[in-house]
Amino acid sequence: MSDPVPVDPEVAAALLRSHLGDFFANSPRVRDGAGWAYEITENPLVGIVKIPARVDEGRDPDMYTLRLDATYYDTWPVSVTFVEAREGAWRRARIGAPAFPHLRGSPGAPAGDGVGFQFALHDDYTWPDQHTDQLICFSYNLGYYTSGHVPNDGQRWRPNQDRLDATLSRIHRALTSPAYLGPSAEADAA
Amino acid sequence: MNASDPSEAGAASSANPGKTPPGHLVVQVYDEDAGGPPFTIDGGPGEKVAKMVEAVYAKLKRDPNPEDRLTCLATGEDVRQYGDLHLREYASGRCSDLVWTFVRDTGGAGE
Repeated sequence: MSDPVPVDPEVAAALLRSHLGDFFANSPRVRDGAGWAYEITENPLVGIVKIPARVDEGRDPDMYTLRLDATYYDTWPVSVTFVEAREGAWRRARIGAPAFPHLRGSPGAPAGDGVGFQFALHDDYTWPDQHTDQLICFSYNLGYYTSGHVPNDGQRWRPNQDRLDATLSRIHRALTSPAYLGPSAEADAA
Repeated sequence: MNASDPSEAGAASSANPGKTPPGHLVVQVYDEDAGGPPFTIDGGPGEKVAKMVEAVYAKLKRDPNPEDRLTCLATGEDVRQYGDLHLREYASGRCSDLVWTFVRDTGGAGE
């Protein structure tokens, strides 16, 4: 695959809407887990997904919010980031905030065993063009490719075969793994 | 779903109604890369889990890759480590729902 080029916006928006609907209709994670929800924003290329983290006994699950940008979908994966509602808009969640999960093994979190597969959450990653942003670093997120990472053939996004299910299921797997330590704000305060 | 009801043939999947031999156990498999509804495989109580894993790959039309993740949804445990168990034994102690998820390898940082 060459450098990402935006997909026809009508096609990308239709795929986002259709595939999000399918995910919520079929995924066993949604079926078995409370708190999941999604909406398409006023921008039809952007979806918001509420995703629960690991449930500790006697507590409601910690909830996180993901912003999915389908500008390049599904030639490329969606661009996904953890966000929080601020000043009337969905804005990038930052480390130290309740909307930013602490995952052991990721930068800024305690060292140790990670989520069980190659995956890291960067609060502030520098791209080759020197811009910085949050990066959920795994091969089912657009940012993995635009930041210069190179997967092997078995890890590479497959256009027209892989769906955003691949993205959401891996993030959910990370958030329900033993490496999940809670919201960044709580973990930092502890 | 519990250990002995819907995973038993007869209450089997709507994907292959009437095709599952009596007494066979039915495994639901979600391909979490491609999405969509699950597919099913089935085997007799004495079938090895390894044979069921082979059937998953046949349905996926893929060659097995050791970096793939085939896990029991309820426990998160890797299915392939139990390849030598008989299906009934596996279902009674390791993964009673017999719902599995499949994903390919993931590229990223760390592990």
